[in-house]
Amino acid sequence: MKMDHATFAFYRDAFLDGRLTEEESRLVERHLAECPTSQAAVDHLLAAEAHLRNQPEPQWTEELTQSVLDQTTTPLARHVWSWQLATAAGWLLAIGLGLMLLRPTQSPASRVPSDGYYQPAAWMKSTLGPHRKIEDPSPVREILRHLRTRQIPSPRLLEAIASERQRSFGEQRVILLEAEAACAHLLQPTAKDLETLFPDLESRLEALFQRQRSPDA
Amino acid sequence: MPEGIPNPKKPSSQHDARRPLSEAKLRQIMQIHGPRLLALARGVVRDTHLAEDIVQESFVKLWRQPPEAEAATASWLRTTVVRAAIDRIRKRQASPSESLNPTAPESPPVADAQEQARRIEQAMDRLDPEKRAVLLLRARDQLPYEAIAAALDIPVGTVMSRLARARNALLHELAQTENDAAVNPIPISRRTNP
Repeated sequence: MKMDHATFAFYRDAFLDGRLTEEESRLVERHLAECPTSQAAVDHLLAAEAHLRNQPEPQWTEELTQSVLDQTTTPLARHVWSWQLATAAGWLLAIGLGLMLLRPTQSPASRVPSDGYYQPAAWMKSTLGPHRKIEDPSPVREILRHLRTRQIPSPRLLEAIASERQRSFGEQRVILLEAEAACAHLLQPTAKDLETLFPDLESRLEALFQRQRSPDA
Repeated sequence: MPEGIPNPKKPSSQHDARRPLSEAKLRQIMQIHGPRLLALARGVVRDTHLAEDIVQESFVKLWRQPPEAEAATASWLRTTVVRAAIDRIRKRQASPSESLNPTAPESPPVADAQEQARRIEQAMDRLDPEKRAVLLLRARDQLPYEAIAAALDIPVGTVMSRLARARNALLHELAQTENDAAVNPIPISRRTNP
């Protein structure tokens, strides 16, 4: 069996690298004997590879050794190996900073004891959260707003007002009682106006709210 | 996995894994592997000073983070050097303002053997670094395909095809240098003005 030029090209590298079977090698050698072009190519490659293989190795000088050792003995280099520790410390710092920035702010409103009334979520108070005006959670303020706008209060707000009333005494209790009645009026309006039924209630609620905001005043 | 190819999953056997090497150990490794790595790097980048930089950097990397198994040191260094060499030459090619200092200076054609060596070096200069690397790893270091694949981080099949392309390119460049020599038998730099 004879080998054509294209088949030789396929086998050439395996032949050069000694990866052919004996029979395949014989076929290649027969082709090389008959084909001067292929023989010249193989000769060139063998000569080039022999040249690369036989080149003397460059000298690794003491100067080069010392240069490497200098790089490994500098104070900075001695600590570079512990880059894992540095990375871990960096992560801890980043997490700490993140937690500090994401911590809810301690606004005066948030110190008001919760009575089940709506409280803004912690993330809303975050310094990194969306910038928005946080609604005042005071039920007195809320009920005042509802009475002024004649909006029907939510059951939760009514509960909050009732709870506030139960904790209060004297004039404050009366005002809150009237506020609850006014809310009942909003729920089932009569022919009479709210102003007529509860005169000065709004101003009294306003005064109560101001007192709650600044109890020292 | 063939011998000498680093296996990152293999547990530590001899090196105190991930700890810097002692100065004595590093010095010993440099004495053993330095010349061969320098030859490999110089063959790929065709610049002695750049090759020295690459090999030194590789030794510093080794000192910082030696491979888990001491037996893998040689192949780890070879892989690091050849990849760094290809990377550096690619970066240099990307910035054409920097030019390489050829390792083999042009020499007059004193004898046939020297002339042939000069032409081979010229042909190697003209190859791209990946082809030079695969040729050097195969012809000079006489590595099996599997070890070349590990050093270049490519599949064995790619090694075979890249080696074939590299040899074809080398033949092409050798033919070119012979044609150039036929036209200009004396290198331009050696010619004197009349």
